[in-house]
Amino acid sequence: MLFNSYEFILVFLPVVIVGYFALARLSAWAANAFLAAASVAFYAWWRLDFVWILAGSIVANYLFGHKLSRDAAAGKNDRLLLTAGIVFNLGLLGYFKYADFFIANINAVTGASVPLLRVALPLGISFFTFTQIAYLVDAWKGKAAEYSATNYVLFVTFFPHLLAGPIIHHKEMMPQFADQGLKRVNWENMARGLALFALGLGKKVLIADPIAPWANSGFAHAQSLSFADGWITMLAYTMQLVFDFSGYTDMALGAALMLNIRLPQNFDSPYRSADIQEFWRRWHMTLSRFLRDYIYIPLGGNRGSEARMLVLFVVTFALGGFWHGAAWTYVIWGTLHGVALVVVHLWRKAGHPMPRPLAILVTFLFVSAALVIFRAPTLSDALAILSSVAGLKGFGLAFTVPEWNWIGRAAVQPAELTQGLVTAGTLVLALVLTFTPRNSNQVAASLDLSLPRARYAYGLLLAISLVFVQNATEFIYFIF
Amino acid sequence: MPARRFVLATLVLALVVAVAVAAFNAWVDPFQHYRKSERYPARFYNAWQRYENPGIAKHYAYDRVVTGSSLMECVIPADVDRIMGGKTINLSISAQTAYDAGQLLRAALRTGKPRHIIMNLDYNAFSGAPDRSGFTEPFPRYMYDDAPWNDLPYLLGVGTLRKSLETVLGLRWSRFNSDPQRMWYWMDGHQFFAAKAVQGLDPDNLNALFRQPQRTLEGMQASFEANLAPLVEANPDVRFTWVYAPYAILVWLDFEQRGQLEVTLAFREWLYERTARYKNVEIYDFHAVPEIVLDLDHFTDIYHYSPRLSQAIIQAIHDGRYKLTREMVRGNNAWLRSVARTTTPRQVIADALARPLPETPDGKAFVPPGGFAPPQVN
Repeated sequence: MLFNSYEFILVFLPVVIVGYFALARLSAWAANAFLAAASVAFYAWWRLDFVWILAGSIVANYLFGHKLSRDAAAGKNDRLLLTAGIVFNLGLLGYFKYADFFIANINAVTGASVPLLRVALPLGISFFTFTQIAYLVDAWKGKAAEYSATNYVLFVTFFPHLLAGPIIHHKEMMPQFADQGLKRVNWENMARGLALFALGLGKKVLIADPIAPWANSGFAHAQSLSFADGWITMLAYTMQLVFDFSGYTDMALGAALMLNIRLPQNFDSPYRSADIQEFWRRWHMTLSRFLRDYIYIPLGGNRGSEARMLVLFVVTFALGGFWHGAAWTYVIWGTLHGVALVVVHLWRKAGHPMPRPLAILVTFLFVSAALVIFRAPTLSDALAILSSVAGLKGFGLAFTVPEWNWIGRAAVQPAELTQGLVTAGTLVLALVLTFTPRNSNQVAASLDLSLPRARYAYGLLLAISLVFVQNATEFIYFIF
Repeated sequence: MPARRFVLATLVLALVVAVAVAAFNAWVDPFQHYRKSERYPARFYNAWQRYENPGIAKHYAYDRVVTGSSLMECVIPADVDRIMGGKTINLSISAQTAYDAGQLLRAALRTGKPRHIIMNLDYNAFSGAPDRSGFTEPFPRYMYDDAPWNDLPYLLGVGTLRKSLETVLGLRWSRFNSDPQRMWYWMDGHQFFAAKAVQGLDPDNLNALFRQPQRTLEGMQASFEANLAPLVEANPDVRFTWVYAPYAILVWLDFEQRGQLEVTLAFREWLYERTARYKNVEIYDFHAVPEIVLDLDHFTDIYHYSPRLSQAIIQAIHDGRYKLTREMVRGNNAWLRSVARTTTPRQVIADALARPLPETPDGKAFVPPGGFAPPQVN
């Protein structure tokens, strides 16, 4: 089920909120069990047969974690069991997400013709696998308590985070699920959650979705873009992605907050970062946290030589790129970010601070250029677009892509012009909003709920967004 | 308690606005989902055929459906009625896939109205997964059933709202037709002659201009089995006339260039054998008619032929000419293979550019009254 669908907004979410708080009056366990069951139903709405994969993953990890916690409490350090647990999770992810990638590459290198498995990718597998690997590692370290089975199922399946994060940590979630005080309606949370949900829905359906056709068409015409086309394509996707993904996250955080559950923040105006290190503190923050705590630090982190640390930057981000998908473009995208981190480190060491506005511009351009590689179906398309952007194909200002070739044309159909102006205006609006001082989290958190105009504004935002939900499209991060 | 008031007021306002939008859209009903348009003149938007056709199928009177891709959009129902009798409706869809056709025909057949279906078979319609629509947006399934409870995307959607406003305010922002005889007609202003047909073609990559997807025989068969075969079997009293509407020969050279020729020919043969068992199915083949496919004066591009030819095809179907038999499908395949392998795109394009400009604005005036000669296999 999509957050930006009528069935979720008008049926699922209201029923879950009412049902949860009604059941909580009878029993906290019943409320949590209901929430877990609703979350599984939310997942099953997409494809019933993948529920068994989710269920198998939960059962196996719960048993692994249970044993690891007990061993840790008894002073035993069962590294073999932990390894088995991690291998199980990586095996699951490897089979469903990476098997065909490895087979295709082996075929390409060796000339073999091993048939591809063509297995369908279960939605959210990267997210629920990472969440549970973190749990196993902490259980092995003795940092994870023995949780009730119901709460563990809820922790993994809790619908706001299940499909596209944020990547949650058991330590921040389990106490909330167990807290009796959070089982009563809190109107303050309900109001701010509703506001955040409306803002996220608006970001998705009023900004990201209208821009999407321009980004899609630009990438579809990758090989023939002019200089101007290249820039429009790059900026359109850069804006589409951040409003899509942060919009999804706002809706997730908002929906959870209405249930008195606080999910970790995942975005903090990332395009206003002055370097790549700051960018990763503001972009997909829970993934950065996972990469730091469960890859970078265990591999040595800052503890070795500087050279080793810099190599680890690159390795960690290359793996982070690979987590996004089974394609070399993702690996290259991640590696580029790792290399950029190395450059930033060395630049700082050299002691040549850059003026902040210039640093923000440079970082934004790097992030946008790297996202071209992230989005492009092939490296050849990515390089073609980047060549256009860099002016290597000339500095022509011709607009050749069907979605925007009306610009400067004498005869334009009214519908084409209206549609084009709306999309162009949305893209400009997105750029302006990206660099405004307050983001949606801050807006929702500081909203003066007593102002009548706040009610009108959010009521209208919700209504207009509902009207634009018709063109329901999947969130980009569902595929990772 | 401001927080509680905020929640309730926000939700009430959002719901009031949403209900108002839904009521307005239901009242105007721009895609004729609930009723035949009477308050305002009907508007048939080419870009919204997947939304409009199910409603038209439900609320209009007819006993014959003409459907297919853009090749069939310009078939005028009155012309069909004059030739064949009965009452025809044109429910074509640009870039129609087998899935689109299956969904639409299922909705039309559910009304019990159609006794005869004439549909062109585009090979590209069978490419991709069996549930591939020729539409980039999600397929509007809610328009194809009778359940009112899933109509929210239609009632609340911004696309509907925009069309409702345009209708009520009499705006003409989008292109549309209002004549039920020419719902999807697009040929006005188009010219049909050889030099026009080859305009913009890259002889080394004929598909560059059209970007048609690749197909596999298994995929095409699966698409047929999923989308069309069940309709034929479930409606033995309905006559299904499938038409291989003509392409310019350059399409077959494109198939050869892309390694799609044998797949296509194999599908033709397979489909004939697969449907030979059904008494209610007939296939007409205009792909191997030399007077048509070798004469580019009939075309505006390599796929789309003139309205005159459109009428001639209906007449030929009525007369029973070009109805496939086992021998014919093999003979036609052999001729197509032979021409595709012995003709070069450069040669065809050069010939086309050397031809005199047409005498009439809509292309070659002649269609041989006695039909077209059968192809000669070299």
